[in-house]
Amino acid sequence: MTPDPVLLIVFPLIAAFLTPLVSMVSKRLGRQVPLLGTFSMGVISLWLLLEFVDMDTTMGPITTTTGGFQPPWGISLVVTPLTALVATGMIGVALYVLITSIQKKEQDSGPWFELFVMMAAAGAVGMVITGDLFNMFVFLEITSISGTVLAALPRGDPEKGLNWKGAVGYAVISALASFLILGGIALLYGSTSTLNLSQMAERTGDIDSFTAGAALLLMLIGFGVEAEIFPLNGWAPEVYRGSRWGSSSVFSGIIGKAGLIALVKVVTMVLAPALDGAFVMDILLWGGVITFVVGEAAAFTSRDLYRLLGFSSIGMFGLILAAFSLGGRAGIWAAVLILIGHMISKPVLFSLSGALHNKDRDAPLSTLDGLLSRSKGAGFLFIGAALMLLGMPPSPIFWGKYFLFTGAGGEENWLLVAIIIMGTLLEAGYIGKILWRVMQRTPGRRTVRLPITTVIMAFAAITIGLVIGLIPGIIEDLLWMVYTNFEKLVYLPWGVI
Amino acid sequence: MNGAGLVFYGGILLLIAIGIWGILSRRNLIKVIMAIAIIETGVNLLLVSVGYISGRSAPIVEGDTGIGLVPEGQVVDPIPQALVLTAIVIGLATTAMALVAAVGYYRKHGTLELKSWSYGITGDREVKK
Repeated sequence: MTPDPVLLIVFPLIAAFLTPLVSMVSKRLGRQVPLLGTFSMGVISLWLLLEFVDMDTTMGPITTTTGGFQPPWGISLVVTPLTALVATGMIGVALYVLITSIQKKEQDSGPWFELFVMMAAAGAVGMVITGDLFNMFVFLEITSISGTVLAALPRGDPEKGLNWKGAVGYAVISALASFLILGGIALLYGSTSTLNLSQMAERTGDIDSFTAGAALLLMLIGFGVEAEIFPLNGWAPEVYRGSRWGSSSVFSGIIGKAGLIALVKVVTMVLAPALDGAFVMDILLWGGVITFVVGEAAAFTSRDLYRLLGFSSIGMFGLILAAFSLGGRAGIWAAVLILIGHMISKPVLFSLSGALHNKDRDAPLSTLDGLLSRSKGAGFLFIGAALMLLGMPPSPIFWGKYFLFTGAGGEENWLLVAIIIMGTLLEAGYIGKILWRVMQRTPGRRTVRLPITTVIMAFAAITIGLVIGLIPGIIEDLLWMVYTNFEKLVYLPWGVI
Repeated sequence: MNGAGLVFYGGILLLIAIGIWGILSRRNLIKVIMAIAIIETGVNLLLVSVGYISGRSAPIVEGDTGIGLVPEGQVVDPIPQALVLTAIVIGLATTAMALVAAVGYYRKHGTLELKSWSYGITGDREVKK
């Protein structure tokens, strides 16, 4: 039996309506409702993912139509190996954030953080699995409104004032972005008379190149803002600087990833076929590469721990976009593996930083000084996650970069290889810098006691990463399926990402 | 392009251009949010005009005309109109969100000017060693 993908949307929405009601009775209980909602989403998406693993590689997407209306009248949800994998990863990040944030002592504030982490995950999963462009816009809005709330939640005590700087920047820029996307959707609807992505992909011949170019520009700007692609990520530093670690994890692990996958989906299905495909993919490729280098350079020069981690996420978004745009088996596999590795290592680094420094001010890198001698557990977990992010074998990111190099080398794109090596060196530079601080001896500094949930979750996340990195065979079938579905999508209009 | 089309598409371009000019030239948060609302209006007009077909009436069933009896080809495309309704409601929500954030920003920082921003991709000015 295959579960209906619409449950991925239904469960969190029901939980969202129930949360304030339950909170009226008991605040403590109210905080558990979003956790339950996210957990049920996780069960469904893992189930859908395992359906693909069980089947043979020729299996097509799992689809559902809402209300029994067939496309183009109704909205269809399309779960493919790639979207199932990304959705599971995003829900995993949300669960990581929620479980790690469970606190022993009673808080007076309501369940808003938990609620909006869940809603951000629901909107992001919706954006990834929907087969309807306007529906994607609606989910984008759910995600960005949740993101605004999360950006406003500061480190430390919310009573002392929220991170309005981050919130206002994200609210204004994401509102502009989503209406530019809507403009692009209107142009595409005007040419193809449908909002269904698969049907639109069949009718790309009806889109004249001027309309397609304008729509591409609007979509690139709009989704680029969400995916923190340079130079559209001006809002991101303020968010990473002042928001709590859970919000930063949601931005880097859920919201940004959703924008990235949505961009890849719309461009590869509709806009690249409507225009000169190779040229469009080159724009994405170099946009991604420039973002990678700029993000890593900014992380290298950063003196604030949270901003360093945020800029490093921006760099990773660029690298993933570049890998997708490179295409071919190596490119797609590289993108998926780097995505998995980043989704595992970044929330761990954010949560450990949150346990070390949870005050409403900048966290200088000296926060990390002597972490290993102050707490063996925290030190080893931090080193493990940082090395995984860098791509030290056996990390999924190591395999991702390996495939990226073979892909770029196979196309004899030596400039790309050189630039990626340069970015990786910058990355090694700042990771070396923070690890040197972690391993320093600092007698006299107070020891660190990590909350038990942080230890368990970080250990679990790193173990999953190591297992995937050591035995990549366990996800090889899945990677093949992602690749074959992706190729269908690029070369046959009816294939769906 | 006929007269109506010219008015529509000219209006769309003008509204979006005014909005973008406002975002780029104003530094007051409320004015930036107003500029975004103007862009929203332009995009909504674009959505409606995409479904507009010259010489046809609104897609509303009148009097005792059954739904199946509406002569095809006499009404404009109803889908963009449904989309525009949704987009207006969503626009209201996002504008409200942005205004809430602007009010909070004013209360905390005592200004609505964006000059006090530490934005910039490599800007790390606010961190003290």
